[in-house]
Amino acid sequence: MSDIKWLPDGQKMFEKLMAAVPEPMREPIRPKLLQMLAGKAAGQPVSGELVKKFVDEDLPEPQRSALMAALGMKPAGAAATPPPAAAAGWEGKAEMMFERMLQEVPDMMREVFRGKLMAIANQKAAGGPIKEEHITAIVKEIVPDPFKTNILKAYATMGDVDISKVEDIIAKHPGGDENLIAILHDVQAQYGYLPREALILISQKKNIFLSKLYRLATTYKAFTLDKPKKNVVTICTGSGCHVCGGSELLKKVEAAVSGDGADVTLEKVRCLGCCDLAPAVMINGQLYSGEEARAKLAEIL
Amino acid sequence: MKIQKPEDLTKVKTHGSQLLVPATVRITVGAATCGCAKGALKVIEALKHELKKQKVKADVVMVGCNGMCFAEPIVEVIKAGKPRITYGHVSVDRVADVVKSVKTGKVIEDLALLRYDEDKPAVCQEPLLYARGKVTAGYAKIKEYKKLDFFNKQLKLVSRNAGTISPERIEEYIARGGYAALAKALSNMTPQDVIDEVKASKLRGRGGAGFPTGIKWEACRTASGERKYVVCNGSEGDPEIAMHRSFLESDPHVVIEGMVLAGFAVGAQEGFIYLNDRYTLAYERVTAAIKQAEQIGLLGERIMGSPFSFTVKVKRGGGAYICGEETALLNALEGSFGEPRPRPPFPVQKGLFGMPTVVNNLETLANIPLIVLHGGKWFAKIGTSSSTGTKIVSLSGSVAQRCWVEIPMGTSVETIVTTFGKTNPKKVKAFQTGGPSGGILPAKALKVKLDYDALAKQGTLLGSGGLLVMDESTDMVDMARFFLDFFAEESCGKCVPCREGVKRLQEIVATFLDGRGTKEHLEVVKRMNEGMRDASFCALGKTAAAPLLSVMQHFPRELEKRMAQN
Repeated sequence: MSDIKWLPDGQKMFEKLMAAVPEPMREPIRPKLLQMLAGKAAGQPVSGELVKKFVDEDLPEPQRSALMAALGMKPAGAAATPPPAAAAGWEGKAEMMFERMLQEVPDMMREVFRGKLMAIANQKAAGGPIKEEHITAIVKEIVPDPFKTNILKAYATMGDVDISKVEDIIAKHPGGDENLIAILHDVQAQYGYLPREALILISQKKNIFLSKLYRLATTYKAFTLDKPKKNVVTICTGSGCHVCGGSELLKKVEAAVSGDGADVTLEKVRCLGCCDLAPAVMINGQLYSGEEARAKLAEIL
Repeated sequence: MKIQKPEDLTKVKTHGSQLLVPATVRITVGAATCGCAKGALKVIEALKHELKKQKVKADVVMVGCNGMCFAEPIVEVIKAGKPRITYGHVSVDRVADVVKSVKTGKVIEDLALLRYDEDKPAVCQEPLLYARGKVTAGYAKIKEYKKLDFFNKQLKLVSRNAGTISPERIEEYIARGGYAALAKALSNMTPQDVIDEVKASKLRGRGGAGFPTGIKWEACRTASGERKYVVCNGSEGDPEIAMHRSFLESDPHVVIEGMVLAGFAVGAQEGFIYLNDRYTLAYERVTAAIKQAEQIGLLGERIMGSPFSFTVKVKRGGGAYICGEETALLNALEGSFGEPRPRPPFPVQKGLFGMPTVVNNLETLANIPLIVLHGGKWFAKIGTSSSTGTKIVSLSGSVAQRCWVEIPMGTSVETIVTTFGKTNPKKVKAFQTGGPSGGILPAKALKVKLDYDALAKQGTLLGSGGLLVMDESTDMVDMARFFLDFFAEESCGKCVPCREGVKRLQEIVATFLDGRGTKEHLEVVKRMNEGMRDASFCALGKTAAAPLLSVMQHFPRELEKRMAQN
């Protein structure tokens, strides 16, 4: 703490800031704030302006807005600067990767981090467009674990899905929560599953917690978070089909696909709508029954 | 054209009739899910190709299912002046024969199932007259539909159009008397009149609980709210039932008309159809039907020139059995999780988006146009005194013919199994009505009549109309396990008695399946049932023990065989 050189108005401003911090928090947080401020000052004497700047740029919301108001700075709404942009555009999937990186940051801190990380990215790009390798480098150099691992893992599968169509789907279903299930249906119809990137986009556009979307996606059986394999086998285990051997068939197929290498996603459903075919089997969207089903199954297993 | 007054319907009707009984040739293909599963779409393609090749002109129409799922793909040929012939099991390689028969006028005897000289449903309207003059020898060999038990033991009221009209042509529905009930209500009746007719009909909800529809509507009408809603429950989550799906794929307009009438009666301007997530074909057809009704002015602002406006939207569910429960369904419609809400307040007081809402099963709604058109008194004469009207029943499991049929309430299970299932009742070991929540009854109860009260007396329920037949090869303890597994998967987990109770029951059944069961286990089941019945939040938990209890009651030996040997 001793390494802070105060200008008179700087110290005054800082005490004013501390006074605005709720009583019980005040002393515990003081060292932390001083440390952050020292970092900001980087050896230079601290002026009142610098304290203000520190509040504006480095503190997370909602504390930032509250403290700015306490210091008589411009109200948060007006003061909010537009999100910093890439100086010379993006290349490849760099923007998507950048957004994915930010997803690991808690909501309250995200915009602060956005500015900082964008500055670093621009610096790395050195005037050119920001490339994918720049973002990967930032993740590797700056981001701590477990976030680093999460992000790099996500990058590995990123781009398997082109989520550009998700925006259209969202636009097709304006309105509130009552259309979420319809959106999820459409996204699933598009990709065969619900890609994480799509859920993130929906959560941003619809202003809904990602956790709620995940809950919908996992409570309702119509949705899956896993990319389906090459062959999708759906076996009906409704009571009609169960009586006619559907469950036994399911067990057999389950055993056959449990090993590695079987490129098959196995699902069970409670009715396929053609009880006449019991036990009904759907393979890649086509319904089969009896011998026909067995032959087709043998073919793909 | 737009229908601006009730009389305008007549013009559309004439056009529709010309499509149904054509001056040339009409060939229909049954293309509900059951038909498509057996290649109906390929048959249609082949038909179009073959017609071109053999230079025959015909209107090829995709229709729904007439209930004979076992005979799909079904192709019907209607040639001007000749009887309508129904061919079954028409594979792609027989299509050329069908087209040839159109050309030559000779019936394909090995494929022909039945013929219609005229199609005269038990109620309503002008019959469709096909054959003119004497039926020639070739046709006479084929049995007329009225002489077939499959048809004359049925009473097709709600499903009168299924398999006959195209679900994609509103004019064909109108030609069969469609939207006449709406015209009548809008021009000559007050909302209270409609409610009175429905009350007089003694119609009870077809979804399972059997609540009187008229009373529900009246409660919604008198409830106060800024807006009101009509919700059609097309969740159909029972694991053995697909008749409502098939029905909706065959005749979506009858449900829509029922909804508009419900809206008129209770004072709602908006309706939602909630559909099971797997019902993609039904979703497409209903969506198309709504669009047509809007274009023609039967949905939307100021219907048929009256001050009444009504819109309908279709919503697909996310796939959860619990969403058949009305309050869970409302949650799902609002984009939330399928969990039931506490009742009261009932949906008629505080339902969708907090507004008074009528939630009706789609089959209930499909009954409404008939009731409005012919009167509640007429309807009350059908069926039994406490369960009026008809019921669509889906027959599945160990029967020779799996199908769906519409029978008057009070028909015995035995009749259904023998007449429609073509199965010897001696081969039946057990049967279950009402889906997973219903009890499993032994063969000696086959004489039981299908109506709400008779089944309740037997300890089961009518439910939404599933009838599952089991033969000697079925292990009853395994069936109990099967249903408990189902409940364990489908329990939403909101309340403890259901969430935990079902798991404990599963464990108990597992001990029996391992041959380690004891009498004490069975006592525990009885006690747990009491707790679950009294304390569960919704019917799923309340009835989850039913299959196991009925196995205990009717098949005790099967459990005894699996008790630990002392």
